[in-house]
Amino acid sequence: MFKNLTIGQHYPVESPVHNLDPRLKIIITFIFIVSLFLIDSFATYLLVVAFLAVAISISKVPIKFVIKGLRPILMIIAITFIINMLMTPGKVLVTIGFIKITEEGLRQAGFMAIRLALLIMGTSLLTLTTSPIILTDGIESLLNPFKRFGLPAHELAMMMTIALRFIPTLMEETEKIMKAQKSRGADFESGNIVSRAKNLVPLLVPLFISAFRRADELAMAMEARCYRGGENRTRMRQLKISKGDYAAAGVFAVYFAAIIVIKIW
Amino acid sequence: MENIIRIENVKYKYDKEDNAYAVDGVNLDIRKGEFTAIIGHNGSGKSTLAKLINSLLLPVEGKIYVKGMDTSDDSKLWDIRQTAGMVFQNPDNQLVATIVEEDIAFGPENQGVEPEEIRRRVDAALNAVGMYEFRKRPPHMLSGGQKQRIAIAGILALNSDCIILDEPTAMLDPSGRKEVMETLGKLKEQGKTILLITHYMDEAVQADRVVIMDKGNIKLDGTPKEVFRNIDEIKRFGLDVPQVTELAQALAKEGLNIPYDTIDVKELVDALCQ
Repeated sequence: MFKNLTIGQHYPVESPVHNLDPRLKIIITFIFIVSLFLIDSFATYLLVVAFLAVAISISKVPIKFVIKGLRPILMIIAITFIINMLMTPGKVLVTIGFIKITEEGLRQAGFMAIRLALLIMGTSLLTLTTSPIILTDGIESLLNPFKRFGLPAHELAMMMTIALRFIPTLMEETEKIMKAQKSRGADFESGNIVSRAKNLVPLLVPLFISAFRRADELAMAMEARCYRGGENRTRMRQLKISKGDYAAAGVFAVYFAAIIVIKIW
Repeated sequence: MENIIRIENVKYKYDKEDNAYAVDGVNLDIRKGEFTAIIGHNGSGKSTLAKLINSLLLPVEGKIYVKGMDTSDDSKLWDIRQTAGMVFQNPDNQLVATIVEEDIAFGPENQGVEPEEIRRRVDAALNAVGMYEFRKRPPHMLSGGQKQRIAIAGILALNSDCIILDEPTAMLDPSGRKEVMETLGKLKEQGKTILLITHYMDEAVQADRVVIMDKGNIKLDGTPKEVFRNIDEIKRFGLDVPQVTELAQALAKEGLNIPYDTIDVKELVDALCQ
């Protein structure tokens, strides 16, 4: 059941986008989100679509993977669309009973749906082209300057790494416990929500106990390997800014400048 | 030869209220380059002893010296852990990173080693355990024996002189156990001191020296031949003896001319064919 589990949704191929510095990709993604909220006309979306299309084609990630990322939030897009359509006052187009659909409502709804879809596609390109561990490295490096204000950047990154490392292990364990409980007559599939939730208790209790035991052993193993927090720690893989990063930053700067110019105009 | 580990009359108990000591007055010297196996049934104090050497636990009484450093000296803590690296029983609970090579780099990264030097050590450690081609894999996709070899490589990357293994094969299948034992054999050839805690007799037979523990104390200590000839005594400690030895002694009792200290199948075959 968890055999083919992939963590995150990393699509591992070699491409210029994959090889970009993770810090740059994170920053670009953030500014990309901001740029989406600056847009106030349908025409400008064409620019975003063009930018995304170029980025996706360079990244060698099949377009269907990027679109698949939309599936989980389809419901949210639909709800946003309906609420916007019904709640915006303006020139009434159709009236069904007490429901009024206005021209402004339709426009606003379409606008929001496109914004959300582009937002998800843009951010999933980040996770598709960056492996979780490199992403963690990037986040740690970006958070480093905030250490001065007491932000535990190294600890956060270490927690993320360990969480990523143990997701498959705990999944496997869950499956094992489920099988063991099922073989003794436990029922995880039938009944209403309340009884199903109750049935999960015999699954969760051993899982938690084992997770605590694992944490204890891992802590001891880490100490035995001289772990003493982030101080004086070096990293084998160093993040380096390359020519490709400058090029990507340049292209993105042009895109963002264009969005701002259109906005002011 | 120089003693790399010196244990002097060490006592330890987990709780002040406990009546019995988990480790009760152990004296043991481990020479450099020696492959020692410590055996004993559950609760004999063998794992506790390993943690004491690595300074994960501190003795209640007595002293332990690793390369001359007192394990209760706080300022030497990290040098001790670097000198005497430790591999634990459960391979899943000692790998930290999501990629094999990142995990091996964890130790040297903690020591603040330069990036190029870490790279060099990681590659050397991967080659030493024969896992170089797996360096980019996530650990959860490896077999138990492979994971344990990665854990050993993680200790090698620390440049430890001495490797302490706390029942590294207990959770492995026979082929995984073989992988680990072969790796240890290679490391011994490279001059590493190995302290293997186990309850498999066939693993202990491969060591230079066997120490048998019971109730927190050392009962027998010597070469495998010297130790395993005492079949009856070993059985009293609730332990098995190598099957070959048991068979050899049974045959000898029937009047065959077979030495009492046979520990090896080939040895027995040779004796029988004479």
